[in-house]
Amino acid sequence: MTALALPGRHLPRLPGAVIAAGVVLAVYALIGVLAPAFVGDIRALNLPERLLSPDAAHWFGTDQLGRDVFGRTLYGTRNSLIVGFAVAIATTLIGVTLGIVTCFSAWTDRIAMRLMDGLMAIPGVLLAIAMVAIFGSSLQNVVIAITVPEIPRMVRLVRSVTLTVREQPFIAAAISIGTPLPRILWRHVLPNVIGAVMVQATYTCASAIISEAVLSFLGAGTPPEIPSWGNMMADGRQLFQVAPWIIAFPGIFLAVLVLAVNLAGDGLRQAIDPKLSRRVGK
Amino acid sequence: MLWFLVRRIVAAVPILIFVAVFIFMLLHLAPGDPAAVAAGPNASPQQVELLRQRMQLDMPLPDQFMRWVANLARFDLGVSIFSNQPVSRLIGQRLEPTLLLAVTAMLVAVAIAVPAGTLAAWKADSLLDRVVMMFAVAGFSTPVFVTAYGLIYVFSIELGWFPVQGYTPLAQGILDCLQGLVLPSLALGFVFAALIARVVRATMLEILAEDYIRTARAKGLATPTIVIVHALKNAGVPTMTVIGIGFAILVGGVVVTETIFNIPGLGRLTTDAILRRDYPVVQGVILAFSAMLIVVNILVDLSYALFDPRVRNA
Repeated sequence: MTALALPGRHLPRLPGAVIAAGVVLAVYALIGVLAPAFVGDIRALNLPERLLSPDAAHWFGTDQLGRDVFGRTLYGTRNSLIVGFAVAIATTLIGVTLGIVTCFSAWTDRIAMRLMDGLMAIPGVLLAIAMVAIFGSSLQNVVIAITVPEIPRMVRLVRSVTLTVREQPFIAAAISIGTPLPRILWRHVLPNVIGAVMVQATYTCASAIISEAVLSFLGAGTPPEIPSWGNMMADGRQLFQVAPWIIAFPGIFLAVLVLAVNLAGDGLRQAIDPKLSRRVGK
Repeated sequence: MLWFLVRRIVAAVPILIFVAVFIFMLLHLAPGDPAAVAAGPNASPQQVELLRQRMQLDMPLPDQFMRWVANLARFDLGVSIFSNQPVSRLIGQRLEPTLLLAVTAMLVAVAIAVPAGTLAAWKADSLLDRVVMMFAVAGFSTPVFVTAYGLIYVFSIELGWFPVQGYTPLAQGILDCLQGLVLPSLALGFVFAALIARVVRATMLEILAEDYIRTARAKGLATPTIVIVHALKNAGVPTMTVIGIGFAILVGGVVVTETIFNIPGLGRLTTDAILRRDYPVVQGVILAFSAMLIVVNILVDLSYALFDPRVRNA
């Protein structure tokens, strides 16, 4: 069979960085779930206490409206995690379907691949900003706008893996005993593609979290009433020289989360593709 | 070689047409009335109607599209709704800072990534390798604005070495211009450097395991000669590929970097136009960026011939 197999069948020793990434992700997930419970009213304005630097009462300081940066940063975790996972799942579902189907149907292949070429020629961030600006700022539209430019990469990956799987003897065997096409795709092709897809989905998640922050930072992302790291950093832009903490803390949270997701992706890739990890030596 | 170039340019035409149709449909099928948005909240219904006629939004959609394409063929991208200037002139005015930023960022990236990636592969599995690779993952995990604000804080606010933001045109002095570009191109270049360093390392590892490297070693060449002369040259093709792919990411980074450093380039023009629903400008700029991406990819393909004679003779 191919070098790809389901994860978990032969998990090698995990490097320390991957374990650290797992711990960080667990902490973020916990923060995301629990934030509404232990953070007070994140919208409460408190003008007398505006632009306070970090101290015991406000660990991360306060912004120009006197809102607590610590609470809002914790709350922003939710938004980033939701967008990251939603985009990764949507991209995977659409990408896998398109990628596998195009390998078994010549005319869908021609149309879909030209569409993907065109889509890849448009800079992703610009396309996403344009879509949010046009269709309106909502969480759902942000997810759609980030998903669309991510699809071609997933389709191409699935397609390249499927093309090698298609030539395997077990596919010919399945066809020769009269297995219907949908069953071949589901039982014989999909399990061999899923490993590479999971790795790519992890990288998609990381890239989506950055994209959401970029969109919100540029003013065409998550609605302003939802605390997101990008929105907070956009609020702090004009005040960076007086109150750098408004930008610094959401920025650090963002960078650490994306780093952890990327490390998890690297670990997953090494676990799934032993050929690669043997060659790279770690 | 020339035939190869011609074939690549011909293949790019349908892609550009697709982008043009896609952008046009996206903007024109959108909810909301662009005339009403452009006219502003205080406009009377008559003023909105007048503007709609001037923007030719009252024509049937296929007619609007045909007119747009016909103008496009003459490099006429239309007129900005917001500033009444021709879109092609607006793009021309904003081209210099964006191109300079892209080129300097690319130089920073290559200058950091090629030596770092090569060293990491040379000393594979050493502490140096681990440190370089850790920095690489951290590099492309850190969004441009986080790096940018970090650099501004240290080098502009604390040390005062560079301007906090702004842009000096090239015509007003090369040194002043470059000084303003140092922090933006560092911020943008780091992300890119991380991406390239990983590819350089992976490719070099593969190449260093090849037979001809063993031969070179056997005949007694010094290790630096082997690594730099024999191996690095062959890492050119994959490195150029990742530079081509990375250019698409670079464009997104340019938009953010120009906003943070207040650089009046194409990226700022695009975000401003999108937020103001200045449709002719949005169409024109996205098309211009897509054309640039295609040109870069053709250049990357051409560079293969430079690194690999087999491609040249194929």
